[in-house]
Amino acid sequence: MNRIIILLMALTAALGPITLSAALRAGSATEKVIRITAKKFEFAPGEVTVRKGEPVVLELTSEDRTHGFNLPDFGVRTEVKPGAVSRVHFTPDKAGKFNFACDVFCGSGHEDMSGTLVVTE
Amino acid sequence: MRKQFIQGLLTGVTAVLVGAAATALLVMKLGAVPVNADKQPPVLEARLLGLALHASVARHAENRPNPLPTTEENLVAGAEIYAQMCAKCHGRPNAGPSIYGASFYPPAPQLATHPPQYTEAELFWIVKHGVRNTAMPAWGRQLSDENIWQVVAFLKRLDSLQPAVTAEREKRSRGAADQ
Repeated sequence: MNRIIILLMALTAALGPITLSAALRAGSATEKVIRITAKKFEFAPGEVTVRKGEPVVLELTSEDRTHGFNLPDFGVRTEVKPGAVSRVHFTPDKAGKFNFACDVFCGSGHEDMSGTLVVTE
Repeated sequence: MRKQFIQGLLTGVTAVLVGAAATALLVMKLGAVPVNADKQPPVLEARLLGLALHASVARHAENRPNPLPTTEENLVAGAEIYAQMCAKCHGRPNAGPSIYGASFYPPAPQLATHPPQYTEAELFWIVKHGVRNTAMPAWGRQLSDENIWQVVAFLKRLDSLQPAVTAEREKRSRGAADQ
């Protein structure tokens, strides 16, 4: 009996990481990847459309200096630095139009650096 | 007897409250409440709103010091943010009060000539969350916490800024004025 238990535990330990890895791969495969570029004083694209309930990963890059990406309605916030890709994962749980904005002061015009996330049903 | 008295009292208080609410609603529906912004708020209104504002800010702001070091870099950054995002309403240093800011109801405090009396933590809270029914927006959507602390540090040291910060601040103010 003990041998069976030990065997089962060993099997679980061996297969666990493999199963988990496969599950994570499957999860990331269903995420919609959206690339957004930031530069003074705009995001490109300035409007992004996603579907409610669909997992999303935003890949953000900067063309000039450090910017911020703040999407408060979904608790999403990250810094966007040149030469690096900032990834944020979230799943929109409500439909509508939501503003995102740069929240790292980047000069005269910073206050206009914003965009819209459109979440459809 | 006592029960009847309490019942009568409760009925009377309820009638007064409902009557007051109905009267207030009627006054509003008749358009009798002034909504124009080109008058100074009455003293009583200003004092009551000021009281509510100070008490609410004191209650909600965390009692903590500015986490940023008071370096020239942070103060210059704060001065730049102030010049671009705040000065239009709150006035530019050495440039007199802002007519634009004075046109709000209530008028925007002229911070350049009357430095704020709030603590740094309270100022941080006001800038981040804004103030309802004034023109003060919640800057937390457009400025990082670090940016807000930089502005706060600048505002609290308007009277004692180092020469380099003052020179940079004035240079930026002139640049903004020229635009």
